[in-house]
Amino acid sequence: MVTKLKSTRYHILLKLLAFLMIALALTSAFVLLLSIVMMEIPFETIIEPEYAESREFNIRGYSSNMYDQTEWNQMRAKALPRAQIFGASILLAIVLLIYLTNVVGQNEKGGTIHLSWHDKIPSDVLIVVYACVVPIWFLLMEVILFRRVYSTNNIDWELGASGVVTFLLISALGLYYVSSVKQIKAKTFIKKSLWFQVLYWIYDLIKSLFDGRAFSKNGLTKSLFKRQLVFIVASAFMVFLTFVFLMVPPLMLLPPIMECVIIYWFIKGNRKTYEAIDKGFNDSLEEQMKAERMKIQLITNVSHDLKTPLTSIIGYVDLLSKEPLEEPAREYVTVLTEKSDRLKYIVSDLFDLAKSTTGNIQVDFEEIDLKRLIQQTMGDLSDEIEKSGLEFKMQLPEDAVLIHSDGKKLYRVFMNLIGNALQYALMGTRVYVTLETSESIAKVSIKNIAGYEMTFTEEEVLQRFTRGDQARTSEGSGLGLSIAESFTHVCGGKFELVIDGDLFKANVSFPVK
Amino acid sequence: MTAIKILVVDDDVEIARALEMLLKREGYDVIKAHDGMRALEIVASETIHLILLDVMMPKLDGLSATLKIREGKNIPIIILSAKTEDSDKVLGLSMGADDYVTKPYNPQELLARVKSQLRRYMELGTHHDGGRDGVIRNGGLILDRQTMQFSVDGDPVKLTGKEFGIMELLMSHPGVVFSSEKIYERVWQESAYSVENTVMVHIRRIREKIEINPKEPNYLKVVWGIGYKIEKY
Repeated sequence: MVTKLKSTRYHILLKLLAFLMIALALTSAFVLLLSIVMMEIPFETIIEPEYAESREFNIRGYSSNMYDQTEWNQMRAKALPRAQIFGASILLAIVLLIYLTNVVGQNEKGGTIHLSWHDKIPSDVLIVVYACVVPIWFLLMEVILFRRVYSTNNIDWELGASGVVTFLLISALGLYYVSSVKQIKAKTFIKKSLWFQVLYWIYDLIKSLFDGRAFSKNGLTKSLFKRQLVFIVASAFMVFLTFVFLMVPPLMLLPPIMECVIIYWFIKGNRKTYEAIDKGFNDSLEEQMKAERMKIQLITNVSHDLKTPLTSIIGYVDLLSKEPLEEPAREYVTVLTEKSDRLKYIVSDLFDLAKSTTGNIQVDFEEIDLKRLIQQTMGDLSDEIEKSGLEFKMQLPEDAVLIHSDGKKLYRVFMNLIGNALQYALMGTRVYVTLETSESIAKVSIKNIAGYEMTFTEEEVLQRFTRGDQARTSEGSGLGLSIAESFTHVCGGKFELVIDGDLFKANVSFPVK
Repeated sequence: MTAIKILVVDDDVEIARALEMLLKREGYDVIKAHDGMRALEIVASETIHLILLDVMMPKLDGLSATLKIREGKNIPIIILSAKTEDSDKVLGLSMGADDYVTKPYNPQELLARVKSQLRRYMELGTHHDGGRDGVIRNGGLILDRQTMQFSVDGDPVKLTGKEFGIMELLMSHPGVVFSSEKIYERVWQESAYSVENTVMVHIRRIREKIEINPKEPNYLKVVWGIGYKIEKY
């Protein structure tokens, strides 16, 4: 972590250094060039060591100077080193520019391109802003160099001032360049530019006007779309006709009249389609309601149809168990008794779940104390808790936690959750039951360490009929957690399971009154 | 003395027959009916001591039949129903039924309930200690302050001192919900501090002694998140 941070800082520093070096090199190259011009040294002195009389030099257009060899040598002595430094500077700038272009926008090699707010400005807006810098530079240079006409031969001040101004110009252009390179690398240079977006918007508008593929599946919307297309084209044509008929005044009345006819046709046609859509919508709503009613009726009927034979089975198994029976038969009857009892609980749980998930359950809301409810549930299960060999760690607030809910259903929720812990927690471990209130939300957490490997997800364990432990065939319907979840919802709370390794955690939360 | 006659009404022939066998084993006389109208006829013509009544039946349903029977007689009626909602139970009891058992029922529990209703109907009807001082009655529960005795449907039940105290407090105010703190302060005569568990455990022990099915108590009820109460009968 630390080394990575260091290397990141090092990268940034290196890039900044390269940027400043380029700006400095280019500025110095420019200033050197300027100094040669301002000292009125002909550029030929750099290339030609010998002075030739036949040559005439026009300096700044108006004065013609003649030199001798000594003067020529003096000028050459001044110009030559400047030219050499100029070349070196340009070379350095090019090399650094290639380096900077390569690394800009990347934290490390191969990383994604990082864009700052500056790089998110559309490229065409950016170029307009930075283009303003160039005329300002010209203006400033004009002011600096114009001063020279009245001044002495001392050109240091002019050179210094133009150096500073040029440095600023190059820095600004450099910023633009770096930003553009980043945008090109991130492929946003064109996509995010203003003109491209405007063009795309126009393309999208035209496409949505004339491309009816989205509506082709439904006959009604398709006809709406076609009518709209005809309306737009015809109306546009009428506008065109109006302009044409400006030249023939008596005919000018014709397009408005025809437009009226087109509007009438458009509205009339749409009305019919809208009515048809309305009808379809109502029909489907009706269908849905019917399905919902059927579902509720189905639950009631299936419930009755399942319970009636089950009542007979339990009744006759009980009678059978009272009869004098031979040994294998007696054992079979014991199995029947157990299984029919279990079936009874499963059927009962199943219908509780079905009723609550379809919202077909009666909920009696009243003000209850969540803390008290948890204590009551713990007291109700105290025998089972003592027998379980588990240690229950309670963490409850001092004061009452009042919520608006259905106490009887919530008892079922906590009984199922604690029952789940009792059944599946690892022997000798602790079960934590906590109640906390923060920001007007009361949250109950029940945490335990599972006594087996939980090879399922939170969703799977809540799926109807999914058993926590597939191998175990003990009592219970396997619907306990689903019922807890569904009852929490109908009681106005939130239910959440967390499985983290061997840690099993159930969270139930309610808004506090 | 003639045998006790029980009327079993259920449109499902097999369930009615299973009930008949169950009750006959215990020495009761059983008469069967398969719809509400027939049940009314039998009640009018015979001496019946208890009725087991299904709800969903042809011709006349169980709830209407209960109302009709109650117009003339106060024979104990136990409703058998596949409907498990609290509101169904309340509705059945308000129609005049004495107990409400959901299908599929546990035969032994049903038998216990039958016996309890019969005892109350046959034996308690002749007792006349209701007017005595210090005796509180509620349904089949009788609490005698003077002798410190407690009985359910005529059967004496041994309660510890604290348990008796809790029952005395709750039975003096049937239907009223008491918080655990209030119960503790009144029964233990000490200031209550985190006593929920103590009270709840006592309530559970009492339920195991006085209720036929402690998981679905008829009398001593927990009002979850609020307190405890005795249902008023």
